[in-house]
Amino acid sequence: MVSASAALLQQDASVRVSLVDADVHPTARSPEELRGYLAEPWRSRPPQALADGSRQIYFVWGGGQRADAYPAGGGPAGSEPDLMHRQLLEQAGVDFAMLLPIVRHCDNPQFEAALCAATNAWVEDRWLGAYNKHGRYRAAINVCADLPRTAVAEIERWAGNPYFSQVRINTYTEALFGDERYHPIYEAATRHRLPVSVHFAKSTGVSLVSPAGFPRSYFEIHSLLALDYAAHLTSLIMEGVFEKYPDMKFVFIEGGFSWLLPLIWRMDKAWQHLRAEVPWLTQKPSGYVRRNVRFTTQPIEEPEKISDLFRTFDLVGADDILMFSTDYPHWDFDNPKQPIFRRLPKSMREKIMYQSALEVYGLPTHRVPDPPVAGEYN
Amino acid sequence: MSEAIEQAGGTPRDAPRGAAAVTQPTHAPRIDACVYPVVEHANDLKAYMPQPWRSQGIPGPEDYDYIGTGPLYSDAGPAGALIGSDQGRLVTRTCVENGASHVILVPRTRGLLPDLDLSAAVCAATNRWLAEQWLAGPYADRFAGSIRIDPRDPAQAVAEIERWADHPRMVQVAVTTQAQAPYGHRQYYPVWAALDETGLPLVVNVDGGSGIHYPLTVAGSPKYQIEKEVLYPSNFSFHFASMLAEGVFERFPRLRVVFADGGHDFLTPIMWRLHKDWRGNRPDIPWLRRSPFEYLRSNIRFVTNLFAGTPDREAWDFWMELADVGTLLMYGSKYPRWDYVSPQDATAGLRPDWTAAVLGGNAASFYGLA
Amino acid sequence: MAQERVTVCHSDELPAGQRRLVKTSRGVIGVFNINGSYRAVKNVCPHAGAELCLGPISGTTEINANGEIVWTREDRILRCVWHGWEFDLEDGYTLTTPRIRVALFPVTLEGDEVVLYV
Repeated sequence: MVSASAALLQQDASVRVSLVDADVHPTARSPEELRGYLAEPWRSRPPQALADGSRQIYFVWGGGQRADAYPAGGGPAGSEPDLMHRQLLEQAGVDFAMLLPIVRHCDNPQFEAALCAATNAWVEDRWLGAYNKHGRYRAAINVCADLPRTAVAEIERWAGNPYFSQVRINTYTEALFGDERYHPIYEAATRHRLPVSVHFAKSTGVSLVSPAGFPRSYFEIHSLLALDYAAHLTSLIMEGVFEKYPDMKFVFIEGGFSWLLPLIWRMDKAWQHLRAEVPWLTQKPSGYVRRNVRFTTQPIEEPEKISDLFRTFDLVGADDILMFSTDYPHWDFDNPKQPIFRRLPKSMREKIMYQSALEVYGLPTHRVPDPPVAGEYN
Repeated sequence: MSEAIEQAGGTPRDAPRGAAAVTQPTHAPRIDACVYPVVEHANDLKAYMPQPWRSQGIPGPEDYDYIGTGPLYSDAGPAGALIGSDQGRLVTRTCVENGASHVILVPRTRGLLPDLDLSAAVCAATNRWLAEQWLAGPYADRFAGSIRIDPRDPAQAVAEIERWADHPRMVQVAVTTQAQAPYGHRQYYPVWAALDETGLPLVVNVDGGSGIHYPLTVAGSPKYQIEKEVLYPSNFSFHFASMLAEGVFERFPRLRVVFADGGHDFLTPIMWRLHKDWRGNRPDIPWLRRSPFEYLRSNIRFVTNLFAGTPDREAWDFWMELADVGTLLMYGSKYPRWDYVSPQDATAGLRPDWTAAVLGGNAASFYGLA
Repeated sequence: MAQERVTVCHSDELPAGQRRLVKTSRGVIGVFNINGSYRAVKNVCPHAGAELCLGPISGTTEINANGEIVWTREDRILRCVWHGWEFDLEDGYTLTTPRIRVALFPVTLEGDEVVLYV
């Protein structure tokens, strides 16, 4: 992957990068903050059309945010750049952060696409602009996958900005990701050397139905998000997306990781028996993972015996495909200073904590030192 | 028992690969925990159905949604009769050739059946047919049966359980993995109460018959059979998480669940997540009073699945130890369906003592057989 | 190890329902006045290192013998601001297993002063 670092190398980049965070969520101070970036007819819609509070279906501890990440001056967690700088870049020690403002899944894909476009413009203006003097933020280009032509246009619109380092789609699409209707998105992103990523979002309730009906609790939904991603990954592989776009990178964000091990075993074994159904695959399914697929660590699994986790990582090739993330400012934030990350086997630690992300996102190996004075972003 | 072993041809020929150096004790139970018996002709079931149901059309016994490239069955059938209807042939495969002393019969549903009274009637007829033809026929002493119910109507389901619970050869109650609501929900409690009372386990396996068909994955509908095969066994998680969250095993501690689709290969990552999310969300699901891990040995079992496994023996050993297969896993051939798995293939790469447990020890103690 | 005696504040400065964070030789300690009783808790969550003492204190849910949800342990449960782990301030232990403990320290009223021993 061609590195974008040359374009972004700054003269005073003297600090060697040792921690990249692949999943951070900045938020607008209010949904109204996006109105100025919205195209018509959405710009003139009433406030309730923009607000998404009614879409909170399952209530989670702390409203889903770290209770200590709310700005003192008001506003949601993740809306205040100084606080993010202090908690994420200073306290957690993150060198580069991938910003993923989440656009909710909408019944009307036109509206979702409009929200994506507004969010991208807002991110570019604020978090990649005014708040990014240190150059340590990157962001994803949000697109609505179910409007592929519009999505491609949105990718083309932002691909020239080297601070946009990937494309993000929602998981609640009309078809599984391998379907050919989404291929133009993969083509455009890959042509621009941008990984495509998936992250969960608020959605209508119908998106949350499991194969057994509607779960009652956030506990059920959250603990089984892995199976949502497993279905999309299986689809991407079996539909031959990585055959068609061999240079593509697909990143599964915040869906866990250990489930990959039984999945690749099952895919390979099933393929031995059923390969006639998918004759376009030129190698066994697991062969595509190392080349084309990446995962983020948060929320990291916490088995009682840490060595079981590290053995699992070893078996599934974590050092090549896993990237550290915090999910700041969400409640289930992973602290890079907690013991499990310090205890990662040395052979994988550097790759997971930053090296893989540098490669995947074309990040420079060095950054500017911390600014001497806080509060310079207002 | 010794007669069964004689008929099965003794242990050496049937010993799983890798265990050749270890002599299986001849008294080790061998049980096939999941076999699919079928009527000889599709309409035979009608004879067991009263009116008005007898006059109604019902789908055939073929798989509800199979779309694979290969044949649906792993075996041929008797001329002019459905595959899986020939008891002698079934016994030859599962007992004589594979060495089982007991075979647990899990009759399947008949299509989606949105009409729940028709579905209940089909269940009742299936149970009567099974009891009369298989559990009282020439091979009856090898067979154990499953009582089919449709839990959408708890009253009829409970009546059906009560009708058959004391039958000496009925060993469990069968429902589909597809459901209108996950099995932790309260509408099912009268049914679970009956199971808690009788001590009969619940077997869950993918099939039609539930009156609704949500997409097979939580992300949507896969197109290819290969996608389905990879993913569907993990769907046990939705029922398991639901039953945990709602405290079903606290309220009904004798309720035991067999996930016959498999899923033991997904179990460990699922458990790590369930346990981690319990620790942060406990106040919202206080019915889950203990760690999810604590319910596995007491309340959960899995049946083997054709596509579970990896040639990396060390890795599989590590993974299967985490999944506690020495206690939780039971071999089921799935005869005569295309995803039939032999005892050797189902236990490839397992330690010898696990192999004995999986091939019959676990089922023997779980069901009180042999 | 010698105990450090730390004067937290005058009793008027820590009324019921309030808390103060105090720097000591054993790190930052959160001192709470819960209905007139004092509790002192290490301000580091043993799970992932969050500032535990920023979290709310309240009761929590439990299931009674009839399987009904009830509210118990009023004013005893400190919930971590990050992953929501509940710690019972009676003994410092989590409500979930494996049981993990946050360090508690003796704290009393001596005269007019709230005094902490670490």
